[in-house]
This record gives sequence, structure tokens and C-alpha cells, in this order.
Amino acid sequence: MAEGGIKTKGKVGAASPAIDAQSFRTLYQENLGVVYRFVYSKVGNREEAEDLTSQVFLKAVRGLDRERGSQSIQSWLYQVARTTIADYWRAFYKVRATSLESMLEQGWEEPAEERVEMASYRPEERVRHLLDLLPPHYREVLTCRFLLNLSIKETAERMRLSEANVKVLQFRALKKAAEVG
Amino acid sequence: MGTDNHWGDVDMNDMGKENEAERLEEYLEFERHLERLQQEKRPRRPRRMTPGQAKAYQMAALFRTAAPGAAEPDPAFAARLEAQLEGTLKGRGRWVRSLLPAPRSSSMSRRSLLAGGLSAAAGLAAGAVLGGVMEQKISNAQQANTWNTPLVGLGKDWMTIGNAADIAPGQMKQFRTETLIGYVFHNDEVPDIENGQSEPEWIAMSAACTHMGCIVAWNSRDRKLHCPCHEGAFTRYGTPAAGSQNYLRSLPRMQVQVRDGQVWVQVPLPLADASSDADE
Repeated sequence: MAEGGIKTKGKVGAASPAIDAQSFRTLYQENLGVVYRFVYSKVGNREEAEDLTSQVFLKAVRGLDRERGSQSIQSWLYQVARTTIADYWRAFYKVRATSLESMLEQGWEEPAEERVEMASYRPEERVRHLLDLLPPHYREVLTCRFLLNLSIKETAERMRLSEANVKVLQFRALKKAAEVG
Repeated sequence: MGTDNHWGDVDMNDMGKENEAERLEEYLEFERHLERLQQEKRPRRPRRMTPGQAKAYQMAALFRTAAPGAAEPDPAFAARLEAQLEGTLKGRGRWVRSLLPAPRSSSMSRRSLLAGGLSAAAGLAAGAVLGGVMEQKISNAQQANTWNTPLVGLGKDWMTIGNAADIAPGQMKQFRTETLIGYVFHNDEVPDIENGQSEPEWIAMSAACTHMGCIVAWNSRDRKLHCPCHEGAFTRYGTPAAGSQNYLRSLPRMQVQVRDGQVWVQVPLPLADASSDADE
């Protein structure tokens, strides 16, 4: 991030302020990977990650309304990303809710890692930590399916289980990971 | 099974007894979801997930970041988005999606329509600003609350999209021009005169979903416009349907009129036509 923050032109609070092109490129290049990884870790596939990352940056550039330090920019991008993801997932929830706050009131919990800053967000490290906490059979099925990208059949052969059992086991393993994490 | 695996004390036969709420279909659906993730494709997730289900699905997304080569932005995507953002910052906007070429229907002079008192019954009154981005203006405060999605383009003109008699009340007709794909809905609802909240008899709207621009499709059974990309839906009036309100804005409306038995819609002009129109 450029020292001294992002240079913007125009009045504070103006609807469509200009931003210095070089400052914008710096902002974009330094944050795209961080935002993308955060979004990817919430949806798990490239198609949705690209859609949602685009949304995050489009929302963010429209709101570039004043000087922001690099820390502030990143925190703000994180806030936009977090809200965008929450809105996206909310469509699948059983409980109809109109805001993150009302969801929390209805028993939905904000995952612990949501509360850390995006810059220090390391999804790969969190995965390894969760694997360490799981029983061996859960750890192995998740390692096969995710770290090694094996198919159900390959996983079943490796674990000497039926394919049906692998399907059950992986679902349970992920639920367990959510509990222990 | 419990004796045929190398997990010793793990009795796989007990798996089905652990939680009766878990059903085989749930596992199969989850596996289909995982397969889509492995292909880097948008998965189909169940609607109305319980918190427990949602956690498993969210955890699957997290674990995907540990897959080889995952979670890094594709360079082509990075370049595309950067160009889009720069365009937005420069005020050019890139909200009008690629538009299918279609033969232009007979065109009526804008002046003759307006001079004839044919101001639009519906939605937004557009003001053309040639050489820049045209944003639709809201005609009154109430509409500002309801129809606040801008339609972007250069110039505008009236075009006929068919015979009014061919579009029965309750019918939704898709049309295409050089600059957009849209729908005209012949409203069959009785006007609520007392509350003054009724929709007009004819409604014209863009067919591009306000999320990512996919073309929505009309379903005459549930009378909704459905987006094929993210399962979003709009009512026949173009407002986000239940379940989609959190992330969708209304479909932009266009002015529409019936004259001499024809349905006329005011649509953005192609760039070349807009420039020549300005020279008149």
C-alpha cells in the first residue's frame, strides 16, 4: 500500500470522487489477492469467488470518498467483503433475516475467524490447525478429499471403505471441524 | 463393514444412527456440491439450510483453500476486473451488458411521440446526456424508492416490439433491440385506486439481472423472472422476489406506450445512432 494512503480528488463525501490512477493500481494490486483468498475461503470455487470479489471491489471503489490510510483501506475492504459474503450466504439460510445482527440474535454464530483482520487471515493455516484437532479417520478423509483432491472412489479405496461411507464420513468430518474450530 | 476397514474401533454401521435427521439424500447432495467445488464451478446449495448444514458447507469452502493451486486469483480475471474498476472510476460505467444484434423495428420519431402527449405511464423518465453516461431520473419520490436501478446508455429512441393485441393480460413478452434484451408485461391486476399504489397496465423492463447481468427467464407458472446464474428471481413487476431481496435491485424499467395497436418501448440507442441523433 502506498505510504500516506490513497490520493483522492474532490470533496469529502462527493458521490463520484476521482482517485489517482497510480494509487488505485497500488490499492488493487496489493489487496486483490487478500480479498480473493478471503472470499474463496467462504465459497470454495473460482466462479463464485470471482463474482463476489468483483462485487467487493466495485462496491469499494464507489465509496472512495476520502483520504484513507493503508490500514484503513484494508479494514474497509474487509468490512465490505464480510458484508458481501454474509449477504450471499444469507440467501441459503433457513431463518429469514434482514441483517447480520438479527441473524446473530436468532442463534446464528459469527465464525471466530470473521473477527480477525483480513491481513492476518490465513485460511490454509486454519485448515491445518483444524485437521490436527480431528480424530484420525476424519483427518484422513478430509486430507484425501481436499488436500489431495482425490475423488470419492479413490478416497474409498485408500481408506478401505465403501463410497457411501466416505460420503457420510466427509460430511460428519466437516461438521466436526466446525464444532472444534 | 466395521470389520473390513483399517479404522479398528470405527463402526461404520453406526453412522446412520448417529443423527436420524441426517438422510442419505443429504450426503448425496453434499457430495454433488463437493464435486462442483473441485471443478471450480458454482455449486448448487440447498435452500433453507439449518445452522448445522450451513457450517458443513462453509467448512467445505474453507477446506478448498488447502487444495493445490486453489485460492489464487486467475491473472486473466485480475486484469479484467482492474479494467472494469478503472472504467467505473473514470465515470464511464460498464453496466450495459453485451447486447445481441437484432433487427431494429420500425422507429418512430421521439419528437412526434412526445409532441403527441405520449409521456410514459411507467417508471423512469430518461434524460440523454450524449458523450457521457445517461442515468435515468426518477419521476417522483415514490418511484425513487421502488425503481431506483439506473439504466445506462447513450441516447434513446422509441421502438415497437409487437402488436398489443398479441400480448394477452398476464403475459410477459421478451424483446430484443440492438442495445438490450427486455420484457414487456401486460399487467392483469385490477388497479388499487384507493391506495394509489397500482402498477400501470404495461410495464417494460430490462432482462439483465441486476446482480451480474445474466438474462432472466420468465416462468409462467410462478409468474416470476428467474436468473439462471445465481437462482435470483424477480416478480412480474421487476422487483426482487422473496429470497432475493438481500442482494438484488429491481430490474430497470423503460417507458412504454401503446399507440395504433402497437407496443412502443423507449430503449437506449447504439452509440453510432446516438451520435448522429445529437447532430440533428
